[in-house]
Amino acid sequence: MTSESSLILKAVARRDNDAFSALVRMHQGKIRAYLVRLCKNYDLADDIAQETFLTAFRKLGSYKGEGNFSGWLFSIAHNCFLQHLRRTKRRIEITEQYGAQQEIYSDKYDELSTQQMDLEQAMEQLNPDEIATITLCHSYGFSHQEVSNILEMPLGSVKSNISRGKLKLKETLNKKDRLEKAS
Amino acid sequence: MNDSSDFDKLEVLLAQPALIADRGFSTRVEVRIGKLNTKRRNVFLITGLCWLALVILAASPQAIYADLMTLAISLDISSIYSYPLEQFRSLSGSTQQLPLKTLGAALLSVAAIASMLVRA
Repeated sequence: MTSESSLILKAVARRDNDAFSALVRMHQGKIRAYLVRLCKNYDLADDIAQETFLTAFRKLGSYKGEGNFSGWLFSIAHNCFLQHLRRTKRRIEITEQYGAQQEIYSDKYDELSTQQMDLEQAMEQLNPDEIATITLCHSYGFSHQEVSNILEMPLGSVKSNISRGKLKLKETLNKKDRLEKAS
Repeated sequence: MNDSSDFDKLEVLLAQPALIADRGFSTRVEVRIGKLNTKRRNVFLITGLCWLALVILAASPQAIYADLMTLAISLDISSIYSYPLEQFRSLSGSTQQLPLKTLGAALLSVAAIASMLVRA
């Protein structure tokens, strides 16, 4: 049994705080990076990430071990993000307020190369569905079917969001490349 | 550069996502989970007390008195608690029903069920 599986077992069966805290430390980097891409705001992403882990702790009893734990957490994180949007009814305002002006702060990350920074900036051109599908599929290695289950989105929509998003990313990165070469 | 190599580059870049550094985040979550557990314990305690009070209200006072007396005698604490026991004896000896019994039972039931719903 891997250390993660034994931690999940302890956290689910005994509601062991220490085991759950270890799982938080293990997954927080990915969950927060995912939410930063969606929210385009570090503080808001942190608030939603905290809400995600608290909800996960409350719902530990409902985790049946189907699929992987990470997918279960991403599913909760995405629902928390959608709930936040519904609650505040500020989808457009968030995009307008943070979308264009968001700066990528390298000190927020464990490591951030120039290329990764360019990618994070290019991600801002994508809509939330494109960001979610591309991040889950290409960055965190979930299959199209798993992404479809996590986001509760039809498989066809997952695939079309990914291909549309990748095209946008490619165009944005190429444009930036050309501008840098010209200057 | 052709399209397929652009996509290959993009795939490689996407496969190396930048992760956010912890910087105390896990500790903040731990603290909040600790508070959540305290809240859960309090909710359980309130639920338990509500059910206990409900049982006392629903059961006959004479039977409760008899049980308490048996317990007190077995623990030999009747002398320490003689005053409350006397009070309870006078209450249980009364032929009158408790006036707010039904209302009290209803309120406690609601409180107990609400506590359980909050927990769920």
